[in-house]
Amino acid sequence: MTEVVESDESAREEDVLVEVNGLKKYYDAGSLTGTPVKAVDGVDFDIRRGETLGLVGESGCGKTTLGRTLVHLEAATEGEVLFDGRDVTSLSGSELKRWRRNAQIVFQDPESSLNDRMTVGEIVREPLDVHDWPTLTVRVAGDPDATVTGDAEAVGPTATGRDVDVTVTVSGDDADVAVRDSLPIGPEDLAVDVDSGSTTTVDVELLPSKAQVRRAHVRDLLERVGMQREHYFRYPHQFSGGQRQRIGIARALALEPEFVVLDEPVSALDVSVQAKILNLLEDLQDEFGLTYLFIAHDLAVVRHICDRVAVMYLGNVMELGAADSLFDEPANPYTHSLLSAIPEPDPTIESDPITLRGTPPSPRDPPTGCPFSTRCPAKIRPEAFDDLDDETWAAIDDLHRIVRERGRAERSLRERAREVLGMETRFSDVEDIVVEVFGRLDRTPDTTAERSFEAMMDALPRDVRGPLVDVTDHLRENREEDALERLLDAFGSECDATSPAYYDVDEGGRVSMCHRHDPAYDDVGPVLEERYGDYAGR
Amino acid sequence: MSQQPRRQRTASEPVLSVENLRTEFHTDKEVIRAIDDVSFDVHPGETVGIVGESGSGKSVTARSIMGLVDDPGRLLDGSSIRFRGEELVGKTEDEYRDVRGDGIAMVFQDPLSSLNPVYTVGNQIKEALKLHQGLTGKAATDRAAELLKAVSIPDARRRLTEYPHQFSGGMRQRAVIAMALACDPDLLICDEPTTALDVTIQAQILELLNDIQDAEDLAIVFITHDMGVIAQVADRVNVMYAGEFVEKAPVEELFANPRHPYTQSLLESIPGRGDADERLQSIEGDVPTPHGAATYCRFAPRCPKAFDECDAIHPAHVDVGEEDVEHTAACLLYPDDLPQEEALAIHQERQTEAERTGDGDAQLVDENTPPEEEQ
Amino acid sequence: MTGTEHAVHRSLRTRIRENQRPAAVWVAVLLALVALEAGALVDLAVVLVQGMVKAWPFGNPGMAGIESAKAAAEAIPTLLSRETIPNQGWRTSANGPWTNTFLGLEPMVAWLLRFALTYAYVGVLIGWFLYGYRLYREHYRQADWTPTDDVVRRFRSHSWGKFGFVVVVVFVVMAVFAPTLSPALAEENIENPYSYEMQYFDEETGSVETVFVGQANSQSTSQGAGDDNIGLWQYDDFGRFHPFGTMPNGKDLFTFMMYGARVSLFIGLLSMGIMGAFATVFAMTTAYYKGLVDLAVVIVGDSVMSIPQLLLLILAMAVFNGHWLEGIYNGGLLIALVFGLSGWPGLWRAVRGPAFQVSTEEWVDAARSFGQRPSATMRKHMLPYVVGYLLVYASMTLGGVIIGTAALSFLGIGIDAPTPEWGRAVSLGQPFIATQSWHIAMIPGLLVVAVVTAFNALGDGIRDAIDPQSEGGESETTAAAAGGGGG
Repeated sequence: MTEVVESDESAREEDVLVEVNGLKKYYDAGSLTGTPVKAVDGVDFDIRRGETLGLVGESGCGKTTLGRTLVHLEAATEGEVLFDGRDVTSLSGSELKRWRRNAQIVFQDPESSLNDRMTVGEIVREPLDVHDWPTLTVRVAGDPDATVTGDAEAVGPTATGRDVDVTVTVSGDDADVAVRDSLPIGPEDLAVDVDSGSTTTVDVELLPSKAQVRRAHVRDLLERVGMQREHYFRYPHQFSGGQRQRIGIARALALEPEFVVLDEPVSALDVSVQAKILNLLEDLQDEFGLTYLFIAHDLAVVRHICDRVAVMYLGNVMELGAADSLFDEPANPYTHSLLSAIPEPDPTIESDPITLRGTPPSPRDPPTGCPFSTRCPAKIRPEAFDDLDDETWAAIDDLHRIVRERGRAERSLRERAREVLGMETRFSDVEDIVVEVFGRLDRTPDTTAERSFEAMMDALPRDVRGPLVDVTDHLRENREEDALERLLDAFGSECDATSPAYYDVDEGGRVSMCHRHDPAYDDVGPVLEERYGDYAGR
Repeated sequence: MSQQPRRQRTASEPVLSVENLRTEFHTDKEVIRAIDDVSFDVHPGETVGIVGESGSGKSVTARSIMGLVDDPGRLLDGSSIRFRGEELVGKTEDEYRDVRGDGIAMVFQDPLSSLNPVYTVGNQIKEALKLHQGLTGKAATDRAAELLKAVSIPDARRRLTEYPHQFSGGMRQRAVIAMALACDPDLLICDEPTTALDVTIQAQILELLNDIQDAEDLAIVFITHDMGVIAQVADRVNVMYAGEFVEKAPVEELFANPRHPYTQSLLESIPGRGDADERLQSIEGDVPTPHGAATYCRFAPRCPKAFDECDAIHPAHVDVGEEDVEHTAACLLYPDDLPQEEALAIHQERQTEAERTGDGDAQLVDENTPPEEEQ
Repeated sequence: MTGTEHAVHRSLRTRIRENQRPAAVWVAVLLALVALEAGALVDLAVVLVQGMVKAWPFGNPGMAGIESAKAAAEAIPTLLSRETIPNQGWRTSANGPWTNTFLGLEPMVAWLLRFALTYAYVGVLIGWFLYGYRLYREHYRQADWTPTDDVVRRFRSHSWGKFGFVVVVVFVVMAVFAPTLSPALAEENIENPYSYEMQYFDEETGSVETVFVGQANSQSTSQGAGDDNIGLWQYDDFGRFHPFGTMPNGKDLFTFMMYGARVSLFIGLLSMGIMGAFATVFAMTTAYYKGLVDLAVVIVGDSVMSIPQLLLLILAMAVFNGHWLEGIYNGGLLIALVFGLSGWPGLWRAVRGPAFQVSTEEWVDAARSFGQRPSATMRKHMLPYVVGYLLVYASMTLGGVIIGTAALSFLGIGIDAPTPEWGRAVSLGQPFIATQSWHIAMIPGLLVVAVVTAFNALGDGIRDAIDPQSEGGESETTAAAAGGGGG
C-alpha cells in the first residue's frame, strides 16, 4: 500500500515570482469545426524567484504552448498567471507592453529566430527601440517628495534594485549622483541640476543621445554572451548555430527582464555547443538574478541545469518536484517510462526500458479519466482480472487503442455509404484485427479468418471471451462508441473513469498525479517491478 | 527489450567493405572534401555505428555508399565500396538501382520527407515491392500489410489506405522501415533515424530495429550524433570528425577507454556523465570544413592535447587497444608505448606512403595553415 | 561611455567626410550628366502637371502659369533636344544640301545621331549609378556584406534576366524620351497635323514649298497598293524620314510607337501601383492576423476575381463615355484603374503564400514577445521577404497589362484616337498585313511581344536572384557537403 506522505509546508513559502492557477489553452475553442485542441488542459504550479524550473515532455504535450502563454504570446483560454501577485492574463494595450519588459523568451531554432535582413546589432537593439529605453528612474535619497524633471522620472517609494537607475543625494545645491552598475552610462553622462526651493526639484538630462546609450548597451550584452563587440555590424547568417543562439539570448536580456522562458534553447545544437550555451545560461542567471523556465525534451540536460522539474503529458503536469530526487526516484508512471527510455551512454548497462506501446492520444480527443490511461504501464486493473497474465493485458490495451483510433478515423462519404449498405470497407476486417492482436499470445492460428478467430477465442479465459465477443460484434456494425463502452465496462478501472488528484509523494514538496498514490492501491514502483522486472535499474 | 550479448564478429565475409573512400564537392566557390580516406566494414548480423557532430560528414558517407552523391560531388579515384564482394564504385545509375533496395536499403532522418505526401503509404510500399520483387495486385497488398504488421503498426490493412500525414512521427518512421525492408535487404543504413523522434518513440524504434536484426540477420550501419543511442545499439563504433574516422573500437571499449582526444571531449560534454554541479565540459571552436587532403591533424586547433607536430603530420590509424581487441585511433599521441620520435616516425611514414600511392586528386593542396577559428 | 564608443560607429556623413574624394568626384560627374538634360526633366515635370490640370474637371487653375513655365523650360538648353540636333529639314535644290538639320546632315543621319546619343546617354547614366553603388560598397559602407550583395551578384550572372532588364530599359527610355527619339513630334504629326506647317523641296515646282503637315500626311499614306506605301527606313516625298514607315493615314509609325510606349507605360505603372498597394497591404495583414481577417479578404478577393476583366473593361468604357475620367489619355486612366482594381486579387494570392511563410518564422514571434507594434513588425520583419516575390509577379503582371491594353485597343474599345497606342496600330494595319504595308501591323506586334517577354524575363531574373533555392541547388550542395545534410 502507498504510504501517506506529509510534505514540508515551509518549503512552499519561498518567494514566488510566477504563480499559475488552472491555466488552460484550447485552440479552435468554440469554433464550427468540432472539438478544440486542448494544448494545455488545467495546469497549476509556481516558479520561485531565482530558480530554474524545468518543463519536460514529449512533442505534443503542450510545454511550448505553456511557455508561450506565460509570456503572453498566446492568450490563455482560462485560468490565471500571477506575476509578482498580479494577474497578467487580462493585461492588454500599454500595460501589457510595459509588463513585457519583465518576461522574455528565447526561441528554439537559431535559424528562424533571427531576421536575416537585420544586423546583429539591430536585432538586439530592437526591443530597446520599441520601449524607448532607457527611461531613467531617479530616486532622490531621503526626499520622497522631490520632483524629477528632464529626461528622467521619479521612481516609486517601494522600488528597489533594477528599478532604480539613478540615485541622487542632495546636499544643499550640490548633488551626488550614483548610477546603477548594469547601465552603460556613468555619472559623467548626466547633467544634474538641483533646485532646492520649497520642494526640491531635480533636473536630470542625459548627455549622450539615447541611440548611443542603446548601442553601448547592446555591445555590452554581446560581450556578456560571448560574442565580440564588432559583431554588431555583421549579419546572422555569418554565424554558427551556437552563436546565433547567443544573439537570441542577448536580445532576450536587452530589456533586463526578471523571468526568461527558454524554449528548447539547445535542442538544435550539437552536444559540444550545447555545453557552452548551458554554461552561459547558468552564468547569466547568477549575474543578473534571473528566473528561468527551461523547456526541453532532453532529460539529461534538464537534470543538469534545473532546480525543479515539471513533467508534462497531453497538457497536464504529471509530476513536479526537485530535479535530483525526481530523476533518482520518480513517482509517476509516466516519469518512470520517460526515464527508462533514455538511452544511457554506457554500453555496459543492460538497458531494458519500459517500452510504451502506442502513441500519445490526440489533444483533440484526450482520454476520459487520467490522460496517461491509454498507455500507462502501471494502470490499475479491475480486481476480477487481477490474475490475468501481462501479455493478455497488453493485448487488451492494444485493442482498446485500436478501437479508439477507429472511432476517430476519417470516413469518406463513399465509405459511409458502403457501411450503410453492408458492403465491405477497409474497416471490415474486424476478426483479422482481433486475431492479430491476441494472436501474439502464441496460439497457433488456423487457416481461415473465422476458424482462427474461433480457435483463438476458445483458447482465451471465459471472462475475457465474453466481453471480447460483444466488442467484436459492435465493431462489425461499426459501432465504435459501443465497443469502447463495453471494453471499459469489462476491463476499465479508476484510471479510465476519473482524473487523478495531485498527491504529495515526498517531504520535499514533490507532487504527482496518479491514482496509485492513493493508499487504497499498490504504489507505482512495486507494480512496475512486478510487471516488468528490473527495468533499467532505476 | 533486453540487451543481446554483443555480437562477435564471425569469420564470415563482410557484407560491406569500404576502403579509402574519398568524396569531394566542387562548387563555384570552393572544393570541399567531405570524406577523406574512410575505411570500415560490416558483417552480417552486426550493427556498426558512425558517430559524429554535424559537419563531420556522416550523412555523406551514407549517401556515398548508396551512390546518391551527385554532381558537383564525386567519389575520388582509389575509393572502393564492396558489397557482397561486388565493387559498387563506378557502377552506372541503372546498375546501382538494382543494388539499392534489394541489397542495401536506407532509412533517412526525416520520415515526413521520405514519404511522398500525395500517395498513400500502401501505395508507396507496393511500389517498392513491384520494383524489386515484381509483386502486384493482391499479393502486393498482402505482403505490404504483413510488412506493416512486422513493424508493429496495428490495424495494418486500414493503415495501408491512409496518407503519411495521418500517421504520427513514430509510425511514419516505422512505415519507412517497412519500405526499407520490403525487399529483404542484406544491409540497412540508418541515417539518424530517431533524431527527430521523442525519446519514448525512439525506444520503440530501437527495439524494433533490434528485433528485426535478430530475425533477419540483418547488417546495420547506424549513423547518429547521440552517444547514448550508440551505446545501446552499436556493436562497433567509428567516431567521425571533419570527414575522417578518428577512432574505431567495439562499443564497450570505446566508452571505457576513449583514446582520441576528440572522443574523450565528446564523452565529457554529455550532460550527466560528470557531477551535476560542475560546469559542463565543452570543446572550443567549430568543426572545420575540409578543402582537400589533410597534411595535418584536423582536430589540432581545438585539441586540448595538441603539440607542434600536430600541425605538420597527418595522423594515421594505429592500434591502441589490448591484445585481442580491435581498437585504433588516429592521433600522434599513439602508440604511447613508444618514445615520441618513434611514434611520430610511424605516422610520418604512413603519410608519405599515402602521398606516394596517390591520394586521388591531381595536386596535393598545401594546407599548412590550419583553418581559421571562429569564436 | 568612453570616447571609443563614438569612434567605432560612425554615421554615413562622418564616413564620407573622412574620405571625400571618391564621393565628390562621383557627385560632380553626376551633376554634369544631369545638367546636360536638366531642361528635359523640367519639361517633363511641367507636362505632367499640365496634363493633370487639363484633366481636372473643376476648372483649370493656374493654366497661364503653367504655360509660361513650359516656355521657360523649353528655353533651357539641353543636349539631346530637337533644338540641339534637329532632324527635320529640307533641301534647297534638287540635289543640294539640306538646311535646318544638324550640321546639314540628311534627316536620317541626324535622327540616327540623336537616337544613338540618347541611348548612349542613358547607358552612361545607368553605368554611373552602378559605379556609384560600387564606390559606396567599397569606401563607405560599414558592413562588409549585406544580403543585397548576394542578390546583386546572382542577378549579374543571369543572362535571361539581364536581357529582360536591357529591353525593359529600352522600353522605358522610349517612353520617357519620346519627343527626342522620334523623327517628328506627336503634337505636329499625329494629333494636330493641320495646325502646323512644314517646308519641303518640291521637285515639280523646283522650289521650297510650305504645306500643312496634315496635307503632307495625306500624300504619304501606306495602304498596300504599289506606290501607296512608305515602308521601313524610307523617305517620303516631302523630305521626311520614316524609320518605321507610315501608317494608313500617313502618320509616322515610329513617332506613334514612341508615344504609344508612354501610354502603355503609364497604364502599366499606374495599374501596377494600385495592384501592388492593395496586394501588399492585404498580404501583410492577412499573414499577420490570420483567422477572420484572412477569411474576409479571401472572400472579397475571390468575388473580385470572379468578375471577367474584359467585360468589366468594356462596361467601364461604355459607362464612362464622355466622362472626364474617360478624357484623361483618351481612356488610359480608366483602363489603368479598372486593371488595378480588378487585378489585385491575383497579385495578392501570389504573395500570400510567401507572406504566410514568413509569418511563421520565429523572429516574428520574437518581435511580438517584446511588444513591437504590428505595423512595424509587418514592415521590418515580413515585408523584406515578400518584396522579392512581389517584384517578380508585378513585372510579369505588367507585361500582362500591356498586352491587355494593346488587345483592347486592337478591338477598338481601348484607347481612342488620336492618342497613340500600339494595339490600335496593329488594328489599323490589319487589312494590309499581306501587302507591302505589312510593317504597320507587324512592327507594333513584334514590339509588344518583345516588351512583354522582357518583363517576364526580368521577373525571372529577379526571382532567381532573390530566391537562391531556385538556382538549382547552389546552397544545397554546400549544405550537403559541409553539413552532411543532417543534424
